[in-house]
Amino acid sequence: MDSLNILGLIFVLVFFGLMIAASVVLRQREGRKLREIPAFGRLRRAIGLAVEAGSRLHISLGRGQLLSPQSAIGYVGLSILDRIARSTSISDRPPVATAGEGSLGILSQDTQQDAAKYLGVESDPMRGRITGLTPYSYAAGTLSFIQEEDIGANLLIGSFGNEVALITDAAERRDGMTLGGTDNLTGQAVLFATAQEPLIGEETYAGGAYLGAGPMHIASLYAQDILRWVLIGLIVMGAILKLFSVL
Amino acid sequence: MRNLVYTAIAIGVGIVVLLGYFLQFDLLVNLRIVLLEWATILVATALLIGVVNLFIVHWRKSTTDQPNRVNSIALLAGLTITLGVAGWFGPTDPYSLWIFNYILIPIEASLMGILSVVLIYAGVRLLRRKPNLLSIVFITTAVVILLMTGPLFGIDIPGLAELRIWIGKVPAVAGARGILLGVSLGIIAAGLRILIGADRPYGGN
Amino acid sequence: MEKIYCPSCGKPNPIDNKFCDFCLTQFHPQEGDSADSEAPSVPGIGDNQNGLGGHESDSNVPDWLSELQQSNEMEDEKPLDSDPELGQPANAISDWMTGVSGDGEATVGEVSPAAPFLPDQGIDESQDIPHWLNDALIEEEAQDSVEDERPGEVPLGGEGRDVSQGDSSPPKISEETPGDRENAGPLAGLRGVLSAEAGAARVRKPRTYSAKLKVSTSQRAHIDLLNSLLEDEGQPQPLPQRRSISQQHVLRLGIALVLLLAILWPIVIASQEMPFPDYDEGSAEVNRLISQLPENARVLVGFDFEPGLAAELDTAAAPVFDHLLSEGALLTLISTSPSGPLLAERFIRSIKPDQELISGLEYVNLGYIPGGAVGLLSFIENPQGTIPFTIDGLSAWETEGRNGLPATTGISQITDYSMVILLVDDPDTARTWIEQLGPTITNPQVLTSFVLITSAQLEPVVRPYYESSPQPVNGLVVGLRGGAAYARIIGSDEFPGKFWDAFGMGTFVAALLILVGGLGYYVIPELSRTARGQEKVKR
Repeated sequence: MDSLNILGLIFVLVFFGLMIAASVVLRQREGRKLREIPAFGRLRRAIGLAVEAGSRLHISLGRGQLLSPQSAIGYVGLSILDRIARSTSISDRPPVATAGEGSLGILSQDTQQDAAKYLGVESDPMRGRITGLTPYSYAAGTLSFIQEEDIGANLLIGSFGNEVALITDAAERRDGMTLGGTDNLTGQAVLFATAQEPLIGEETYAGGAYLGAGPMHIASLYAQDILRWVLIGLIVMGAILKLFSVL
Repeated sequence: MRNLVYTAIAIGVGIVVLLGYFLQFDLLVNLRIVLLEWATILVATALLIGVVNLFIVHWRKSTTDQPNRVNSIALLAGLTITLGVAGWFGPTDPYSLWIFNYILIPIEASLMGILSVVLIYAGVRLLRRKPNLLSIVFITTAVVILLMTGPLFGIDIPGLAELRIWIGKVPAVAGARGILLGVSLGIIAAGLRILIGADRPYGGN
Repeated sequence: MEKIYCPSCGKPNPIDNKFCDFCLTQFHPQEGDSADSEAPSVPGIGDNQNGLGGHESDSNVPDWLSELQQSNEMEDEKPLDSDPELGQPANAISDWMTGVSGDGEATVGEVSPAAPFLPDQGIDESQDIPHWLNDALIEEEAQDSVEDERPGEVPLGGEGRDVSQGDSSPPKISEETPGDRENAGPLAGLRGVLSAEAGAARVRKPRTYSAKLKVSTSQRAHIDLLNSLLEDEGQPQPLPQRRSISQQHVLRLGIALVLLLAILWPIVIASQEMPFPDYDEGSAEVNRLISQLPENARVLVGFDFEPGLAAELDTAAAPVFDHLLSEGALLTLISTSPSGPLLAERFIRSIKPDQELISGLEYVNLGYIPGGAVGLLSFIENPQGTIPFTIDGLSAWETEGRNGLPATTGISQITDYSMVILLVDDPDTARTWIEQLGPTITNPQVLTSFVLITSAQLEPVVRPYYESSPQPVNGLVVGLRGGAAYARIIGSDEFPGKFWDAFGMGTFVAALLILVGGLGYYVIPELSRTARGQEKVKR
C-alpha cells in the first residue's frame, strides 16, 4: 500500500471525525456564530423579496461533471436550491434552475419536485432546465433565459469558467442582483470583477451552513477551519525546514 | 422507505469507491472499477438526456406563443440538421466538419470576443463599484500582465518583464494554491456530507 | 368624652382639638354646637350645628340651610319606608322635576340658563325640601354639569358664566355620627357608612377644554405630506422606462470599437513589425524533448479545450506539431470534452494543408472519453478496454490475430507512449490530467514525458507542476507567447506573424482602456460630486 494513499485515508478519517465531534459539541452549545459574509445576507434578503415582491430567483448550477471534483460545488448549489425552493415555491413566481450538464439538470428538477411535494404545491419540471452542453453554449442559453424572464436575483453557484462573465453581464443589463461562487480559478477572478456579490475560495461551500441547510453543514465548516490551520502550520513548517535544508 | 433505500445505496457505493481508492485490496479495487464504469455509462446517458431536455424545452417554447420563439425554432433546426448530417455521414466527414468549422467555431469565437469586451468593461468599472485596495491590486496586476504578455511594440521597459515573471511565478501561484487548498477542503466536506447522508442531492430529503 | 367630627374627613376628634388629627383641617368653634355633635352633613343638607367646621359663626350659615337642617332632623325621625317620597323615588324625582321646571323653565337633563348652578343657589328657600331631595339635587347638578357640557360648548347655564372659575369651595358634608343612617345617595338609609374622604367627596366641575385642535404650521406641513403619501399609495405609479441607449451601452460600444480597430489595423496593413519573444524556458524544454523522440514515436495527444479558444491554442500548437510531424511521430488523438474529437480532426487537417495526413495511418482519433476524471483514469489504467474503437468505428488496438493501427501498434498501456501532449484551456481539466497521469509519469522507470500546451490564463495553475520536483509536467508552452518562442527556436515560418502584431496591439489597447478608462470612470464623477458639494456650501 502506498504511503501517500495511507496519508490520504488518514486525512479523510480525521476530517470525518472532526465533523462528527463538531456536530456533537455544537448541539450542546447554543448560539453557533458564523462570521458575517455580506453576500449571504443579501441572498436572504433576495429570497424574502422573491416571495413578497413576486420577483423570480434564478439559480445556475454550472457545468461541473458529476464524476469529477467539480461535482462538489454542484451539490452545494443543489443544497442552496433546495433551501430556496422550500422558501419560495409558494410564491407566484417560483425559482428556476439552469445547468450546463445533464446530470445536474436532472438533479435540479428532482430537488424542486421534492420541495414542491414538501410544500404541497404543484411542480413544473421545466423549472429545472439544461441550457447548453458546452461552456459557451451554456452561457449563451442562460443569458438569453435571463433576458427573457424577469429575474430579480441570479445565484451562480457551481463550476463556471470565464464564460460566467457573459451571464453576469446579462444579469446586470436587466438590473438583477448577481451572487456568484465557483471552484474554478479563472471563474473566481471573473466573478470578482463582474458580480455584485462574489464568493471567493471556499465561501461558496459554506452556503448551506448560512442558509440553514442543516447542522452538519455548520459542523463541516468548523472541521474545515481546524484543518485549514493545520495545513497552514504544515506549510510554514515545511518552508522553514526547506529553508534550513532539513528537507 | 424508498428514501432510505436511496440513501443506503449512495452511502454504500461511496464508501466502497473511497476505500477502493485508498486501500489496494483486489476485491475493493475491482469493485471500484466496476462501479466507476457503471457511473461513466450513466454520465454518458445523462449527456443524452441533457440533449433531450434541451429539445423538449425549446420545442415547448416554439409551439406555444412565447416571446423570442424564433430563436428556439432556429435551435431546433440546427440541432436536427447537425444530428442528421453527423449521424448519416459520420463526425469526421467533410460535411460535418464544415458545420463545425464555419458555424460552431465562429459562434464560439464571437462569444469569446464579446467576453473580452465584457471583461474590459468590468475592469473599467471595477474601481468605481468597489473602491478598495483589492480592486487597485487587481487592476494593476491585470494591466502589468497584459502589457508584458504582448510584444509591446518591441519596447523594453526595465523591470516590467521581470515583474511580470515574478507575478506569474510567486503571488499568482501562491494565491492559486491557497484557493485550491481551501476549495479542496470544501470538496472533501461536501463529499463526506453525502457519504454520511447529511446531504441528499439525489432527492432523499 | 365628647367628640367633634371633622367637617372634611368626618372622623371623630376630641372636642378640645383645634385641628383634625387625621386631615389637619382647622376646626372653627360654632355657637350651638352640642356635645353630641353629629357627623358632618352633606353640604347644604342636614345638621350643620357641629360639623360644618368651616363656618365660624351662625351668621355665615344661610337661613335656608339651617332650616333644612331642622327639617332633616324631623325627617330622620320618620321611618324610612313611610316616606312616600323615598318609597317612590321616581315619582319624587318627577315631582321635583316638575317643581323645578315650573320654577326655572328647565326640563329633565337641562338646566335653565337662568337657573343658578350652585347648590346653594339652586333651591328655593321657601320650599320645604327633604334631605334626600337635597342630596339628589346635588347629584343631579353634578351629573348635569357633565351631560350638558358638550364638546366645544360652554356648559348650559353657563353663558356669561366664567367657566374658568369652578366651584373651588369644597362641598359641605353633613355631620353624622357613626351608626347613623346615611341620608343621601345610593346608600341612603344604611347605617355605618363611611363618610367620604375630603378629596374623594369633592365635586368639582371639570375644566373645560377647547375641542378645536391646535395645529402649528410645521404640524400642518407634516399632515399635508402624510396625506400626499397616502394618496399616492393608492395610485399606480408608472414604471420607469428603461432607456434604450444608456451610459452602459455607450461605454460597451466604445470599448468594442476601439478594441476592434486596434486589432484589425495591423491585419489590414499586414504589419509584421513586432519582434517575437527571445527565449522561453518551457518552450525550449519541449523542443528538446521532441528532438529526442525516436523515429515513428507514438505520441498521445489530448484535445481538451473549447472551440472558442481554438484560435489561440491552434496558433500556439502549430509550430510544436510541425516539429513533431517532421520527426515522424505517429499520433493518437483523444478528448474528455464532447467537442474535442472534432477540434482534433480539424487541427490535424490544418497543420499541413498541402500534405493531408491519413486517418488510421499517421494518426488515430479515438474520440470522446465520457466521465471526466473517472473516464480518464479508466483510460490511463486500461486504454484498450476503455476505448476499443476509433471515432470512425475501426478497431483501434491490435489483438491476437489482428494487427492494430500503426499509431496504436505496441500500445497496451499509457506508459507505452513516448510522449503525452495535452492541449488545454481549463485549469480544472489541466489539473485532472496532471493528477491522474502524474503518479505514473513521475515513476523514475517510466520514460514517457508529459507536455502541456495551454492557454495563457492557465500559467499560474500549471507552472508549479512544471517547476516542482519530481516533475509531473516536463514541458510547457503557454499561449501565443510560448508558441511564438517555439517558432523562433525552430526557425519556422508557420507561425502567423500578422496575428502577432494584432495580438500585441490588442493587449496594449486593452491595458490602456482598463487603466485610463478605469481612472477616468472613477475620478471624473468624484470631481463633479466634489464641485457640486462646494457649490451647495457656497449657496
